[in-house]
Amino acid sequence: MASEIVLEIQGLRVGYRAADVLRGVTLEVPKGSFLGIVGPNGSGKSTLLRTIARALKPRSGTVLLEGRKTTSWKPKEFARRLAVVSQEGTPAFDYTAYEVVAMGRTPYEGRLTSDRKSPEAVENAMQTVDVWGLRERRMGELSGGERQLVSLARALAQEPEVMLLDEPTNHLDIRHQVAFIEVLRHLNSNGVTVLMVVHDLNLAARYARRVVVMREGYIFAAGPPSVALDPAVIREVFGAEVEVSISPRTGVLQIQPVSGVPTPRPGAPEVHVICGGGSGSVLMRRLSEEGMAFSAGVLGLGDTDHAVARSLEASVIEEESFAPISDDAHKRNLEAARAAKLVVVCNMPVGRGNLRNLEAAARAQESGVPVVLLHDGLPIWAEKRDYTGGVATAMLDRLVSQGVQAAGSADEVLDIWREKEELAASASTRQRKPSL
Amino acid sequence: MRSRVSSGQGIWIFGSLIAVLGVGVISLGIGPAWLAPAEVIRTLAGGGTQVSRAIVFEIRLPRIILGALVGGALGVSGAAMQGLFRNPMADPYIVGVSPGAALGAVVAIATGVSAGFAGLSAVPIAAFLGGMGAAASVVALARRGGRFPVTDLLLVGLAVGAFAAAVYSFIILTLNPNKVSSVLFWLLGSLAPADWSRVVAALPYLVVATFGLLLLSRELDVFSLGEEQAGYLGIRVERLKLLAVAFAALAAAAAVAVSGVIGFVGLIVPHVARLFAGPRHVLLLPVSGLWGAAFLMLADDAARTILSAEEIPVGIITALCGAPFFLYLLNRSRKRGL
Repeated sequence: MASEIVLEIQGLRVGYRAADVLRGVTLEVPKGSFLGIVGPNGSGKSTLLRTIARALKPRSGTVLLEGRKTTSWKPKEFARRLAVVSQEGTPAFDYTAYEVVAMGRTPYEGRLTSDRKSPEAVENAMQTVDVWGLRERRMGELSGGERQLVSLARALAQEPEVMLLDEPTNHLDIRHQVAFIEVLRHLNSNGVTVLMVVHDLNLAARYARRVVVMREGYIFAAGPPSVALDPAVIREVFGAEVEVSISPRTGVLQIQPVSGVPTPRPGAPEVHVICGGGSGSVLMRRLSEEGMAFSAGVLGLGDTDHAVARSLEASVIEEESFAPISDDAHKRNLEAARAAKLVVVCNMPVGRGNLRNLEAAARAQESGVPVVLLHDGLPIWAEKRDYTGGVATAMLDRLVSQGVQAAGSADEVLDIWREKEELAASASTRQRKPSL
Repeated sequence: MRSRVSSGQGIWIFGSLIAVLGVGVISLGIGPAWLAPAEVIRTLAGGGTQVSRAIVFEIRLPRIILGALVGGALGVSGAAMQGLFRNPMADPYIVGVSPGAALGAVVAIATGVSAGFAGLSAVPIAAFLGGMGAAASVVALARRGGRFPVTDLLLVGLAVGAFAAAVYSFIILTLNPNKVSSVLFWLLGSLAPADWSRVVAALPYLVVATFGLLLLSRELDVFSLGEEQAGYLGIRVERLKLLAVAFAALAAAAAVAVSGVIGFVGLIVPHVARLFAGPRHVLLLPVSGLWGAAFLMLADDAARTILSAEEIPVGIITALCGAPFFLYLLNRSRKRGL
């Protein structure tokens, strides 16, 4: 598939004073791309963008827009094809949002004449970005996020073929960030080529279809996110150890630094978590945030919850992948459940293979360990989670009838835990009182 | 939206124009011999007595027209310079025009050259050349590889101005006392020497410069986003800077040549206009020009009449009334949280 090349960058060298900031960059950008440019501070990504936009003159090398040297374009014609959104503050004087977006029509207007299509183009741009409601407001009154969206609308009003963005979402909260990027994706799906310099690797991984990794003035790696954002590349370029994973929920590539993992307080597990298939992940994370030691089981190797429990340094009772729970594992699971001060049964799918997990909970209950059912807001044990033809549901019903408490979230589990702790504490003081 | 803005725009400009004419008529009546507005209008229309015609056409009208022209040019170019430098401290003299013109004038007064040209004496011609010379050298010295960084224009303007001021201050020290007072009068600005030849001489420069700047309004709006962003929107940034500085310097030098250094008009009037008419230069520049004209005519009325025995340099009046009024407005707009 030979697609048309909209931007062609050949052997670009750019320097501010003595040192070259770009040291030979060559890049072809096909029409309709969504290109993320990442790299450490000072790697030349903003310089690359500003050179493409003609704000900087290269020492050598050329940039071609639609096959023509950028320097040979008339300024207004160039601005009709290429728009730039940079991180900018407020305008020097207090214009309204409408007036600022209308400035995007400059390339279409003469000194004395206006373009008849301008009012419509300005309104369309502001509607697309959803800032039409802000049109009468002065820029000084707007939040940073709103101002940035207005800048985006201004660039849209230029009706460009190519948009260059320099860390446009840096100071935006997550809602504005998503709104901003969604507009870009919408434009991109309509054929607009997007080049975006971003700091946040996850943003690049999530939205860019191609990623360019820059280092010290040249392109170190380029390709689809999963290729360009390889852990080895990131280690080499950024000097950071990261883990690259694919979110099982969204399929998004995730890049996380390998540090900052919470470590549990040493000591015997206080809570035993019976889970599987990701049903216990949030609870285990929450427990570890509270610094509580916990155990988990029985979990098959390769289960999401197994990986999470291991990463949080819990003691895990393991079983082979997809194998039914063996006698040995069941025994250890029982021991762990009986040794804990609280057992939590998560809203996991139950089949023949892991039915013994419920049995372990029932045994623990019988021997006096309080059991909590974590249903995560779903009706307790929705039918589709029962793959045992009703056996699991019956066991759960029995547990409930024996007075097992239900919790709707990890925090509710913690509440129950604290109640029990207080109860135990006051019981022990009451016991001690007579001896005083 | 757009039509509403432009009808509002029309009202501002039309109202300001009426105000300027009203102030002009009243100013024509003010003086040792008071003429009622009705009589002024009758005289202007061709009626009136021989005396009133002499007073209006020979004595007062040239001065008032000159005041309006100078005030208007200072208002427009002040607003344009504030837009170009994106700085509310900028005024029409920012690129060294006033010290340059002052140097020219002082040299002419000191040497006592009597050569004139087109009905003008040596002082206004020397002042005009001095002002334009200073502006040209500022632009030339601020040039850096085909670019004119705004901060460099500002700093070089300060340096060139300080240099010129040092030279003319030294010359003043060597002057005899009666020449010093005429220098001082010139430095503080005055419309007293106004006559028709000065009006005719200054008119083309002031008109060309004012309309030249009006044509740059839209580009000045975009310029407020910053130079780089203005470039991304298709503005030829360096050309805009050169044109704006050249027109503003032309207006300021022509104004200084015929009326001395009248301060504060080009600084305050655009500010006040911006508070009322908003930042858009399409509206801001004409409104600043009209208000500048009205303000300078009023200030000159005061300069002519406050002391019965002699005139006060109008620059003293503009600063004296302008500064407190400006502080009042600044305070009020701060309270409104603008």
